[in-house]
Amino acid sequence: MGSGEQVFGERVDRTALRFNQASIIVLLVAAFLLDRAWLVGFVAAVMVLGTINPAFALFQRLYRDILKPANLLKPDVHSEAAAPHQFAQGMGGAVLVAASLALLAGVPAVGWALAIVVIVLAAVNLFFGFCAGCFIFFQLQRLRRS
Amino acid sequence: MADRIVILGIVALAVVALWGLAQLWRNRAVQRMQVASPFAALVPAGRPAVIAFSTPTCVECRTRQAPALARLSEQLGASVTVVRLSAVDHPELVEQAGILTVPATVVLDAAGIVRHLNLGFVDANRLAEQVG
Repeated sequence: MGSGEQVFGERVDRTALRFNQASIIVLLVAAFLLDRAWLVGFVAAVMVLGTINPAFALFQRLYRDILKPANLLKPDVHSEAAAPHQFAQGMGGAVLVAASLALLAGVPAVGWALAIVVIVLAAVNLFFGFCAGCFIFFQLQRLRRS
Repeated sequence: MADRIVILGIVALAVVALWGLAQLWRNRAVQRMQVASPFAALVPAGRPAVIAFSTPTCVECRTRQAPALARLSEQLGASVTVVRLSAVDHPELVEQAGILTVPATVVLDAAGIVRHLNLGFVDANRLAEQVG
């Protein structure tokens, strides 16, 4: 093993993350199908507030305070850093803020396209466990070197 | 609403198709490596190995994959060799292994034959299963 390896003591409940992603996907799909721009703004607000302070992460609170105690969903706890998940949520929230602004400004094509990007990235992560941001960043690095 | 359902359906199909292509790419890369064995010189013969690729700027490599590799080493001890490589410093291996993203891990059996290629984060338990 190389040097500089860090072992993190943080505990991450992946069920909370998966429920968060599933909630985002379901609400954004509903917003798109029913043409409800305010719902995009609501999801954006939840994601941005949850990034600023995890206590305000509404979907994760719903899981922790209601679904988990009721044994409707089982925890899946792993030792890993929470920071990348927070960062991804912040990025998603920022894109949805832009989508909301585009929808408010009367540019629905841009607004819905941005919302669909968030749906796709959340779905790829939820269903395939694939970090799309890591892939894009790595390919850009390779392009810069070649 | 029907037009929007169609749009979402097309997007979903495109995502599934791309994912299928990525799986094909990965399987072909594993088959290629079973013939070419580009990692033979990097690991000692006689025990399974995990070769992990990362980059200095990859947060997921540092905060998730590295701790998972440490746990794998704790679990399996000297029965598995864990080698960490920079994808930036080994572009030829990245090319040969068909690595599309980081973190990425290549699992070799005790004979040095590539058995698995993981594109993206994999936890310690899954790696331990793949090592066998």
